[in-house]
Parts: sequence; structure tokens; C-alpha cells
Amino acid sequence: MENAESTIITRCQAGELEQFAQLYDVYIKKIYSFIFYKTSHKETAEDLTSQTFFKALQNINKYDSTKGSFSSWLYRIARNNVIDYYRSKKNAIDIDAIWDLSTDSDIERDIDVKQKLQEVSKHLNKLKPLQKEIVVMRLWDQLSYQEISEITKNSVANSKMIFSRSIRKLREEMSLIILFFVINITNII
Amino acid sequence: MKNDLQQILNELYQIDSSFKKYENELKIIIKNILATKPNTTFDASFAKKLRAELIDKATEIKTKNQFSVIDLIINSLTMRKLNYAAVGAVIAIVIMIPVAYTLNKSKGEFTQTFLTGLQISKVTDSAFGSLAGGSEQLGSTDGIGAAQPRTQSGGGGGMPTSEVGNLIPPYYEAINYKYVYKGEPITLDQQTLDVLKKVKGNTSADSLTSLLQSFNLGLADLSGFSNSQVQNISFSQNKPYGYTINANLDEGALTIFKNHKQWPQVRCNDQKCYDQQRININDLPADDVIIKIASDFLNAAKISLANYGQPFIDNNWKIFYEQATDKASFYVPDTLMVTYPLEINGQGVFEGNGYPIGLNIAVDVKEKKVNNVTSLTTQNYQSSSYPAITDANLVMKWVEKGGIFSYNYGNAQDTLEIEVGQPSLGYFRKWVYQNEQNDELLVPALIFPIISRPNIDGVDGRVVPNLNKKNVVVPLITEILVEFESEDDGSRIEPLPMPAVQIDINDVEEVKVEVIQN
Repeated sequence: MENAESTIITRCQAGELEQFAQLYDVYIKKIYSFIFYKTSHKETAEDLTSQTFFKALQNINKYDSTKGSFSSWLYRIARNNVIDYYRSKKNAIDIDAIWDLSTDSDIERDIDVKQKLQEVSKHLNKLKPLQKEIVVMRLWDQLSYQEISEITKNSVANSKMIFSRSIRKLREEMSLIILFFVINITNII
Repeated sequence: MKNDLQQILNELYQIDSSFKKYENELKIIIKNILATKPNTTFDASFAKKLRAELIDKATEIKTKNQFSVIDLIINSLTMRKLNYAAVGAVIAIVIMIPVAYTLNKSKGEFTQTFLTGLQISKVTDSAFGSLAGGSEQLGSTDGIGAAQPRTQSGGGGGMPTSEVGNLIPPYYEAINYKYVYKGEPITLDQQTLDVLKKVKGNTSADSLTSLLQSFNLGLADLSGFSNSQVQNISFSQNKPYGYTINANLDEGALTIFKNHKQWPQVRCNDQKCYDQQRININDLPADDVIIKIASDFLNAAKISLANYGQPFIDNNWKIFYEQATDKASFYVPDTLMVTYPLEINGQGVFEGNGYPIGLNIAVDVKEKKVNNVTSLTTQNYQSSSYPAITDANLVMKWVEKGGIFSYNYGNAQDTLEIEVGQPSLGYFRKWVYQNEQNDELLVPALIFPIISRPNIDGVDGRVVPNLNKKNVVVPLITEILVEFESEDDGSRIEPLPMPAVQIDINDVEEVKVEVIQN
């Protein structure tokens, strides 16, 4: 796929922009989900997803494969769009708090998502913003450490370290819950 | 990246092997986080819509990029020192934008002398001689099947055209019209009015000629051909969806049309294939979408619209679609024409049949791209005063007939009324053949808009020569109206419905054309 993707990108950069649709097909769901996990609101996620792909299309000539994968480049555009969105919504907010998944903010979220976020936020809100973001990117977005490092501008080693520390912290915070689960969940595992 | 639980654990163990002793706990933690992953409510229809929008955007960007090379050269012209090696490209630029660059050979530089925009130079009274001399109603008859300045597939004079099958016209019953003026009384108090005559060509042609004569192209030394002049220049884009641009320096006209070699070609050998290629009326984009495609193209090509009014689409074919009893067989056009009406000092320019003249942009409905651009010409005129009509009653007499290009049927059973409103001052384009060339004149005229017409449902199956008429045109120059008056003796050829053209597609060398008169 990488070779095929590389060929498509090259053709787009050569002016065959209609080829961009193939890239879109590969990434639309991933990018939408990536944004949705950060906004928890369908319409907002759709708006930001649209912006992401339009920006990618218009700037495809600026993509440099020597500086990272296309996937990471696209995710980074999406991430920046989310940051811009929160900036426009909450001028005074600490940008790091974007990744705060608590549900008591004034950001509009879908109701069913709120319930799930309440559950997960119990665990994740103990983490630092970047830790939360990397945990979500690795576990929900299924991104590789290489991709995470390119998106967040951290090294791969650092990204791995942040993830492992996050898990360690969650383990410590959740020890009581885990004790309860360990008794009941062995069969599931 | 797979989200296999064991893989995630292994990655953690690689980072810190001490994690292994907490494996069960880690599994619970990770599973718990994965389980709380929200449902993203991904909407497939959103994805489909966005995809279509992106493709449109890609097309738009491509169109702009097609002219980026030209932009580069335009920019280079501002760099003053331009060597002859770039001359080929420069020629393209001189033509591509209606701007003339005069060569200052002594310095090897180009100096811009813009010829864009409207230029009218006043000359002496009646300087163009007789305006009626050799007058022909070139391409400007009225009625079904008559020539119109449109190139719309399936539209044209009104009946859809097709290269396949037999076209048999339905039975038509003739109808006459009476035009009823509903505006305020008019007064005509100017003794003379200015007639405009198009000045052809472009001063850049001389510069180009002198430039080319300094070249030896290998096959021939152009300097050996004295008194030669550049008349046409063509160049093509060799890239997907490229265009061919033709500049007629003699006429001062630029034509852009698709480079067929670079556009997808549909080759059908049977009716089924043709049918599959046909456009369904429900697939036609909205008018504003078509106009945007045209507008984006013109913007990208930096074609000035300073001399043109608001664009409109020629939808005359819809009149005949509505009348068609077998709509499924009706040929819906796959190319729609957007016209930016020409305006001279704020006044519209019209054919004798009342159709606005302007810059024509044909848009390919399937490809959603501009197919061709025609009637892009320099607007350079001479102006000369001629005696004008002052008798309002004479004008009204012509209005009642439907203007200068209108017809009556001697055998018509019915006469229907069409209402026309308050006129505006405009121009009627008239061609005059003199001195072995056609001169284009813009003659001051009153343009009466048609404000009400009979319901077309009521005239199904009958000859309706003025059905798609938009305006009634009455010239205000005495000599010209006298000329039409003298021709209005009933001897003019009556326009016929679309002739039955029978084409046998199996024998292309013998095309049989048969005209059947009702």
C-alpha cells in the first residue's frame, strides 16, 4: 500500500489531483474518528474533517515524504484544525486542556458519547494532556509510535516512554478497580 | 497498526520488562480503555458528499494550474530583460491575455501597451459609408431551425440534434404573433446617433511579424518572405484535460477549446452504448454550478469580464423538452452554454432576433469542465454619427411585428399576443459585406423585453417561430430601418421547422439529407 500511496501522492503532486480521491478513501474514516475522539460531536467532527481534507488537497505539493509519512502529515493537519477549533471556541483555554476529556466543559458533545467519556475520563483524567492524547492515539486511533511521534513532534522513544508511563500511572490509580476486575474478568481474558 | 492486545503488551515489555508481572492488570486497563472508545457515528453520506466536493475542488485547482505556466511567463515579462529564446512562450502570452506587447528591438525589451478594455475612437460623420451595402442577415434568422449563435448540443435552433437515428419532425401548425407594447410612450429626439464599427486585428501582430522574421526555422528562412504578417497562432496543452488556444490576430479573436487528444473519448459502436452515455435531465447540475465552473475557468485564465454583464445559461432547449411527448427519447444536452453578455458603455448588444451577444463558455456537463470559450474578442471600435429615427410611430410599427427579424405565416389560423415592456437603449449587431470583407457594425437600437407570452402548453405541435425570443429589436438608424422596410414585402423566406435529417450511421460515406416541407 505504501508504494501505491506514494505513487498516488506523486501523481497528485504532478497535477493529477483527481487521484486525491484514492487517498481520501483510505483516510476519511480514520481522520474523522481521530477528530471525533477530540471533539465528541458529529457535526463538528464533520466540519473539521472537511477542512482537513480540503487543506490537504490544496497543499499536497507541500507534502515532503522525506519529513514523514503522508498519514502523519494528514493527522497533523487534522490535529491543528482541532486546536484552531478549540481556540476559536475558548480563547482563554490552555491548549493542552483540549485533550481533557471531561464532560463538564461548554463544548457541545453528543449525549451517548458523554456517558462513555464519563467512564473513561475517570481513568484518563489523571494523566497529563499529552499522555492522554498519546494513549488515545495509540489505543483508539491505532496509530504506530512512528506516526504518533511525527504528529506530536516527539521522538519515537519519547512517545513510547510517555505511553508506558501513562499505563503505569493508570495501573496505580486503578489498582482498587483492577482488583475488583481481576476477580471477575479472568474468564473474559 | 494493529491494535492487538498482546502486541500492545509486548511493546510495553520492550520498554520496561517489569510490566510483565502486572500483565493481568494491564490487560484490564487496556481493555477498559478500548471498551470505552466512543462510537464515532460515521456518516457514509457525509463521506460521499465530501468526496464529491473534493473532486470538484481538485478540478478547480487543476484548471487554475493549467494556466500557471502562463502566469510564470507573464511575470517574466515584468523582468524587462527578455532574451529571444523565450520568444515562443512570449508569443503565447501576447495572445493569451488580450494585451499587446510592443517590441523595442533596440533594447531587446518588451514594453506593455495594453489593448484590453473598450476602446472607441470618434471619426467623421457617416465615415463608414452606406450601412446597408451588401447587407445580409448572417446567422440571424428567427424561428425553429434557424441559425442561432449557440453551439449547444441538443439545443441550437430548438430541436435536439443527434448523429444517430432518424429525426422526423412532428406535425406543426403555424401560428402568428402580435406584439403588444405595454410600456410608457417613447420619444425619440436625437437627430443622429453613433454607429460603432469593429476595428479588427491587434497592433501586436505587426510586432510579432517583425519578431518572427528574425528567425530561421531550419526549413525556411522567414526573413525571405517579405510583407508577411502573422495571422493565426495556435498552441496546445499536452496534459490531461488540456486546451488548445487559437489566436486570430487578423480578427483580434481568441478561441479556447479542449485538446481532444487529452480528454477522455467515448467510442460507441451501438445504440446501447450511446444510450448509456446520454445525460439524464436529473443529472444536470444547477445553473449556478455551471456558471461557477465557467467563472472559475475565466478567473484562472485571467480573462477580463470588464466588458460583460451577468452570465446566464441558454436553456432554450428546455422549452422543447417540455413540449416533447416522449421525454425519455429527448436528447438532453451534455454541454451547456454560459453567456456573459457584452456591454458597450453599459448597453447590451443583440442579434436581430433579440438574443444577447457575448462571451460564450461551453461547459461539459459530464466532466464538469469548460469545453470551449468562444467570442472572446478585442473591443476596439470606431464611432461615426448617422441620421437617426425620430418617428416613434414607425418604431412602434416594427415592435408590433416583433422587430426586424420576425416572420408571419400566411396560412396561420391563429394569432397570439406577446407583451413587450419598456425599452432600453442597446445595440443591434449587423454584418455588412463591403470591399471583400465582412464588417461588424453595432447599430443603436431600442431593445424591448418580452414580458409575457402565451403558455407553451397551448401551442404544442404548432410552429412557434418566436417561442424562445427574449427581446424585440428595432434599430434607430434611418438607413438601416429603411433597408429592412424595403425587404419587408413578404418575400422573405419563411423559416421551416427542423428538417427531417435522415442519417444512416452504417454508411458514413453516403449521408442522405432530406428536407421535408409540411
